[in-house]
Amino acid sequence: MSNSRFVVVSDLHGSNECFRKAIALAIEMEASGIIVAGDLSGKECYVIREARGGLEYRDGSRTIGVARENLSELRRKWGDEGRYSIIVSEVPDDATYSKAFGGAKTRRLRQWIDYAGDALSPRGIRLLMIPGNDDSEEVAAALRSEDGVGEDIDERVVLIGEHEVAGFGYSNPTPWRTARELPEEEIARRLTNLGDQIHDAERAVFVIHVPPLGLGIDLAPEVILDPDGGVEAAPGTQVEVGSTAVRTFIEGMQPLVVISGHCHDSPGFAHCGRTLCLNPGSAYNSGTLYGVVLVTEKGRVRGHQGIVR
Amino acid sequence: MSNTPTAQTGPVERRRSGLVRTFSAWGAFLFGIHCISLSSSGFIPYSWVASVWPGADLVWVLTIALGFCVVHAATYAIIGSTVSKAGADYVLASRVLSPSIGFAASWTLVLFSGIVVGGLAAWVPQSAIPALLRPLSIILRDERYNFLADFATTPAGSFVIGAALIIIVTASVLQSGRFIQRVLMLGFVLGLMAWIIILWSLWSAPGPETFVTAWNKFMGPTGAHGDFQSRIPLALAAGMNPNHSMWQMTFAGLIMGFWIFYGYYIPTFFSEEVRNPGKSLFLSSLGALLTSYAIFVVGGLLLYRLVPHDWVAAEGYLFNNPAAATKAAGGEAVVAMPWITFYSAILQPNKVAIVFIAFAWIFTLLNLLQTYFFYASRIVYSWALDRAVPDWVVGPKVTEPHPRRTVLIITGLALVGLFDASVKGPLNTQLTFAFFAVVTGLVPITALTILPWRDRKLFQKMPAFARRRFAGLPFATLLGGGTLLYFLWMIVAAFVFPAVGVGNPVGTLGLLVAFIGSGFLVFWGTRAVRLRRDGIDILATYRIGVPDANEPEFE
Repeated sequence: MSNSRFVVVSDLHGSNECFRKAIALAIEMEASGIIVAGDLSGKECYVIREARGGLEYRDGSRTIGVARENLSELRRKWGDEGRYSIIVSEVPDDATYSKAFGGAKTRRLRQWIDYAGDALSPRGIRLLMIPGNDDSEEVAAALRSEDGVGEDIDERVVLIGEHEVAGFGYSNPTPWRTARELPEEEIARRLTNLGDQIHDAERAVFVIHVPPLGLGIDLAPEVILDPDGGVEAAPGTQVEVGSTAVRTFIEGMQPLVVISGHCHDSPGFAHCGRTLCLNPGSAYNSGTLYGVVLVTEKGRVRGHQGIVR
Repeated sequence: MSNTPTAQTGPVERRRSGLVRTFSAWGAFLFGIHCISLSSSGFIPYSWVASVWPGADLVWVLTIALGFCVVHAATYAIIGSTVSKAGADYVLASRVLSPSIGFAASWTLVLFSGIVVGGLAAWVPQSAIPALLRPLSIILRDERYNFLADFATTPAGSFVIGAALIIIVTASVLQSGRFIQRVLMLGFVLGLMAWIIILWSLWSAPGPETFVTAWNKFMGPTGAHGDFQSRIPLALAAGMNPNHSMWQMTFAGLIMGFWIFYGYYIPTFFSEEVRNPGKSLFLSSLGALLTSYAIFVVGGLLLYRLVPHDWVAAEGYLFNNPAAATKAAGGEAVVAMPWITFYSAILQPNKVAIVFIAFAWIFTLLNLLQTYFFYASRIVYSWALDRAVPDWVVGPKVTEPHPRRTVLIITGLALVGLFDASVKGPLNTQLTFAFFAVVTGLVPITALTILPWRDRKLFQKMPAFARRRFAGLPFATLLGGGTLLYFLWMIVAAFVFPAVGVGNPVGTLGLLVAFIGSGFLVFWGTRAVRLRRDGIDILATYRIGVPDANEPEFE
């Protein structure tokens, strides 16, 4: 096959609506594959519990009542925005809550992959995924253990069309100390190992969650660390947070395309030498899908287009 | 790899536009009030409106006009807050209605706006400068001001002065948003101070006799019919036909609203740069409308305290119908001065005040040009973010995306408009601007009206009041429907009342078809090129969410 068409998305963070849209977009585009560049799981989980004659949940410091007949619609809305919810009879302790939250993440991921299997397999569309820094090892393990249409390409290489596609689902250290962070030196070492598995760099596609430093696709709000160890975004200021190791790796290896995510507010593309670097961006919490359609032909990039759905 | 690669960057995809939410409601208000223009629109009611609708009470006309413009302002504020992007009207129409129709309408609006900027730049030397210099000449009895005014009205003078204005405005709009806001703020203060002086001059006159005396002192010597008492008979002899019916005044208000108040809603076109657009767009457009309305109405009330309605109409009529006036005057050229600034100047002939008002007037006219440049450049930028026009439009660097090149595109269009207006060319855009603005506005307003049925998700992003239902219909649909009716009336009126609309129907409609047609050609041409070169159909960019049917349920 000399012509491939990819739908590239990232940082879905548990948004059911974004995932559904990504699948629909891939079908509409008659894509060869969907590439999900990390951060599959959401960040919030509501605890819904029985209250006098109804249900209630806490949102921050507020306790909000919800009628039973509205629960289904509310949970659907949360799911579309990347949130989870669990229904309990008593307020859980931290350990129970963490376990339930983790379970919700992996269950949703499996549901996604099952659905994708039904929608994509008959059409021959592949689903390539990596975890991101916000995905727990539990989620990464669930992805690894999948034997359906969802292919885990974290630190692995697969062949799709004429392209070797390799994935790397970690980031450099962040102020939030998330689950899958590595020092730059370790990122460099592991990327080198991954690069050694590539036979034809000129046609290779790398899916690396953290973008390269300094190409304009790694901008994120500057954060302020407060004395209590909390982190707040500083309004209006953006800084480059990409990885130096990833940038050095791209400059040295010069693959055809590098697909990243991580920085939601920095969708765009840039060239680093001959390598096209893409970040589709993310607005998962509004259920809006940011994606890129990437078309390759005869080992080169023919075109790409940002899509917002 | 043997070669050492260097970082090269390309244009950005949609959303990471590089635009920053710089403008608060106050900043957006400044754009709105300057696009209405306290100076150019400050002339219109007392000179043009009064002469086209002789006998109409300006206060009533302005009030009727305000009512319809408020509906329109609310409609556009909903568009800008629902789709808070550069070129929000284009983004909405292209997603909800049709990509090619949305683009072609937007293309037409921008082409026309850009050319009108040139028309406005020519209007400054052709009309505004003489309207300010000739009074100086009369009041200060200094002919040099008349010579300057004469030079400004020649094709060469008008092109040179207009081009200088366009260059100044281009340079200013290329600066940061904060800088532009400061310039607009300065202009607003100057404009407001000028109006305070004007209103105070009118207020401080004890009564009609004072005005008559002042008029006769300065205008009496200008000709056999220069004195105050001769103006109404002369205008009647020249063909003025006063009509004091309420219908007449209401008609005038229904038609003239857009001419007087156009511009209050332009922050919608750059809503991506407005902070908290859900509130700011409403506050700014309504604030600009009400502020200008209040100033013009107070001006009207104070003027009517001194002179009859028919006299104001007569002076405007004599100015706007010079051939008929000359004929009625037995072949003698009639000097007419229907300017609120002139009325103020003869009542308080203070050189410093007159020069200050002239300076403030010119400064706010520059602000007017800035607003056109700004909004039109943002709409072009929006097309480029959708990649519906070549990538180079958004600039060479992904790290520094900036609508600089789109500003320069508007400069090019403005120079075309300036040349046309200077040599009295065929485009004649200024006289048909309201018609074009209305025709192109039909598209996004239709998109908003049908949005609740076309895109449920986007509908949910509307402000809560716009989603509220009355008689079973969302308020946004009712507002959009009302605005559509208003616009359809404006289109009909442009042909029924050619004095304020389409004087040359074949030419105007031909231009409209050419602009819209070229928009379709550009869009479909770009689509064909992208399809052949990149293998991507740009229509995919414009499609909206997945269908609701068969959506899977996840936990």
